[in-house]
Amino acid sequence: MELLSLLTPGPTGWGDELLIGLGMTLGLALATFPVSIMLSFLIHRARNSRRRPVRYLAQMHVSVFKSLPEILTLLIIYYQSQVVISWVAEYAGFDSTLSISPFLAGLIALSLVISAYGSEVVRGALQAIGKGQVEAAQALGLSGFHCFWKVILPQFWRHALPGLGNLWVILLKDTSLVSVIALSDLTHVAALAINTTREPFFFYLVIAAIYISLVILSSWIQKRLERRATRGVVAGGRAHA
Amino acid sequence: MLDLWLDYKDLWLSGLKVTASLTLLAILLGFVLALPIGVARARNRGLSGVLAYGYVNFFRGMPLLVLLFLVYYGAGEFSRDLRSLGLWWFFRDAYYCGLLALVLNTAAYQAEIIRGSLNGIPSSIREANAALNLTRWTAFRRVLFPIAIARALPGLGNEFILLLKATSLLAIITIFDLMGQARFIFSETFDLRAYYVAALHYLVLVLVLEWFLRRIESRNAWAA
Repeated sequence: MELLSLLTPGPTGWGDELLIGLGMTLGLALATFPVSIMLSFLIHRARNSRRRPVRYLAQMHVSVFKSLPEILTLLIIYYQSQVVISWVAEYAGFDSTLSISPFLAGLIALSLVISAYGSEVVRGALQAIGKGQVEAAQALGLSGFHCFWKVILPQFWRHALPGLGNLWVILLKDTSLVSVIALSDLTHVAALAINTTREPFFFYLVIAAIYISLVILSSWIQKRLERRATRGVVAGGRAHA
Repeated sequence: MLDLWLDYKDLWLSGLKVTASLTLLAILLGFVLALPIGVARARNRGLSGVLAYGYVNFFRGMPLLVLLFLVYYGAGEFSRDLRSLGLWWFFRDAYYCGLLALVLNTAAYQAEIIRGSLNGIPSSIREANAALNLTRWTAFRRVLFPIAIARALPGLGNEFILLLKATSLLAIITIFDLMGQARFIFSETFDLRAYYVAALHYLVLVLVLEWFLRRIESRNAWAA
């Protein structure tokens, strides 16, 4: 009971701080996810480009960011962009005290990592849709944009949702890494709370429970979205009506 | 970048050794732990099924970083009890705590891989086992287990690579693996290239591992 009183909001409890940390975790994950999906599409396009250097670069992006530990990517992006920003600032004659926020560094690093995996999800889903859809759209005289927006994308979700759901869960858990560069997300807030309360086991158990419920909630939402995306699809693959 | 490597050659090599030993130990111990859990998940009946389900979702649901802190810092809170149990030497050491967290984490993922490959075995094979009058244990040991492992290899290989990358988190609890050495060298020299050197190490390790795993998989093509 004594421990639970630590979770109440207010000056003595850490409930409100943890809630803000949760907001930060969710905010980072929600901001990163769309960016990494768009990046995944771009990388997929680049991997199938007609120009060889573009193809190589995209392939390299995937191999590099799939091989590097996420935390190393994060630290490199964080420190290197500080250096780059101060170079640019000096060159342009700005105030050289500009620095990159941990949030932005986390967003960039995580979207680079997630998009490396995401490009495979995109490839799998587009393969599942098949070339025939694109050819049919071209035969109907749809422009490239319309073909993608009206024909490919609506079918894309059905095949991509399981993979994207997986990526979302990975992303959600990887946001805990930004606590290392002092972004006050859930994990960082817990560390702060432990510094004053000396209750490491309790607080880490609490945030573990929060992460687990977020993951369970995500998979529930994913299941609902999948049901929505496959509505009207008869087992066997052909849509009716 | 080569000079930075040569200047701290001993540190990099010892970091490499720590990363390799952690990865190998964690994947092997994790597999031992994952096997019964995976089998229980595949059977999905009774108390063992519920416990295995709980285990997998508990350890897959939280970030490894949180699990790491939970084991390492959380154990400190129970130091008196752990001392009286004679377990304090284990939880006092960051290396063992890190290893324990890695094993608990990877066992959950490996159990799911094993479950998938066990459930994917066609029922005709089970029928053949019954027709040959094999006991359940013999059927499992001589037929189902070898097939399941061969089918699980690509997944387990993937997990191997993910685990290798995950060991880098242990640097945060003062383990001097590759990442830990990079952090140390960076704090000494303020030379960002230390992280790039570490990145090259990981890149080479993963590429070698991938090549190696592909060779093993091609030997087990019969299971596909």
